[in-house]
Amino acid sequence: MTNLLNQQIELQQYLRLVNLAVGYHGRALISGLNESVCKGELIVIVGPNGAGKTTLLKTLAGILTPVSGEVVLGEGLTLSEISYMPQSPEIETLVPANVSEIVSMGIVHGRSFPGIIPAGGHQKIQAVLERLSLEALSKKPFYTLSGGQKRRALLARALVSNPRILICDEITTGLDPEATAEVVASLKKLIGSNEVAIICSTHNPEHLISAASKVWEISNGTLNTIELKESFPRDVKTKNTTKHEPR
Amino acid sequence: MNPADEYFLRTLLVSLFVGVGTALIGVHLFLRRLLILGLVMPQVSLLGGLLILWITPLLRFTEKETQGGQTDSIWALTFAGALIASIPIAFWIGIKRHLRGLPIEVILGTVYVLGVGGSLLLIALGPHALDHVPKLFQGQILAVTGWDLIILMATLGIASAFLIANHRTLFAVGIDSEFTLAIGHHVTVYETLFLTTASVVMSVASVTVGPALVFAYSVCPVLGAWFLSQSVKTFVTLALLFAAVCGTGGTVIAFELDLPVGSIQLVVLALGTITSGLLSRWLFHVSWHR
Repeated sequence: MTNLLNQQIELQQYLRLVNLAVGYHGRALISGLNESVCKGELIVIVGPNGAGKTTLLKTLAGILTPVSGEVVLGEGLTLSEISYMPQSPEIETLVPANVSEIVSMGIVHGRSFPGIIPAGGHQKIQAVLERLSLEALSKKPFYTLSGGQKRRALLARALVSNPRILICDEITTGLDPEATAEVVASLKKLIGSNEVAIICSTHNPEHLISAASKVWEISNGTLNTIELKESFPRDVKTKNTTKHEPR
Repeated sequence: MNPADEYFLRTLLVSLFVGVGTALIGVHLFLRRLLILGLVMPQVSLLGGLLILWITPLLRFTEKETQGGQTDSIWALTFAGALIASIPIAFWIGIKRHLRGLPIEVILGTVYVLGVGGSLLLIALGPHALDHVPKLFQGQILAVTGWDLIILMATLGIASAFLIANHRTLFAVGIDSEFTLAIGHHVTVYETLFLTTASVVMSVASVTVGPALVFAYSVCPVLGAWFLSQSVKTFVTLALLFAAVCGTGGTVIAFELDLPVGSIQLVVLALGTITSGLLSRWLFHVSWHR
């Protein structure tokens, strides 16, 4: 697999899955994945419960180790440019953190010691809060928010470091139609900027399908790709790629 | 300075350092849903301290007892034993917490029972060197002296400085470890460093003020602050303030009334927590009626 590290891949590709198999404890849930994720794409992952959607997303985010194969990052991309929005965040309802503090979690970079907010970090937090219409809620405790507001706050946390790849797990699960519309509008706004690639699993693809470029349908351990848009430039070559190692 | 003033000052310093250091650990344990570790680790630390006193030939130093009820050598030796026992147990609990299997409460409960059972057995069988240990259970703070006091303050000072310097990362890891891992933090490294720091603080505190007071300092300031907080910043500030006020207040009251310092601090901590809970309810009613 290491020979793939130096192979030429297209500039617009942010992520490439090479013979990837994902699962737990050496047992593959999905295998034979050879896909790519390009700049400006929204990829919607669908499939029944237990199909392996979350496992795939966690592997792409570097939380889980691939069973086999590898995930290759595009030129100039580093692991810190991938951000992840979990399905059910571990944030305990009793933790008295306010929205601003939750969002600031996304801006403390892993390599910094001690972990401090870098210069300009507070402006970034303010900007992302405004972008997702959360300024008025910034001082409210996270546990007092509605379901839709919580998802938007978590989206803000995932976006505050200006990631180039955003991975969202079940982004609209448990939300009422109004909250779903809020979150979907935020995602579409993001896709409109054309700077970020989004990979998003959902049980309600109808909300996202109009903005999606591809649908990855997972079933019986395999992934089928349904192309919805063909407008992504794929003609410029790059020189270096980075192997995506789980942390 | 007369000996009584010096004894008071030493006890006050110990109370403040132990109270604030343990409360800071308690805040991080709360964010990790591991507050019960504040009950288990001091007991394990004490067992480790007792075991090393039981097996070491240095027991002869007990003749040089000081005003606080123990010798410098005994305190340092007990601290070393507490560290040897608590650090591996903390790592083991940390690993088991992230693996599937028995619920963590079952493991912690079992470790606690073993810690208490072992400690009580060793005290019952113990030679003269263990005489000071029941005083810890009675709520007496053993005011350490000389180099031991410096070691205690340096240990708690360094541990607290580490926690404060890395508070953002440690909070992020404690609140949502998966997200923190995804954005590039070395979660395992930070968790290991935190658990080591927690073990060191719990060990030094347990052999000085006893397991009951360590548990109280890791829980009461955290709960008292939680009642009144709407942000992590306020939560941490109030918890540390709560610990410092209870440590000072408890020591002063105990010296004024000539009562065991530890017992009085336990009462002050409990009353402070209850007061904080009542105050939060009153504030809620006031804001509701507005």
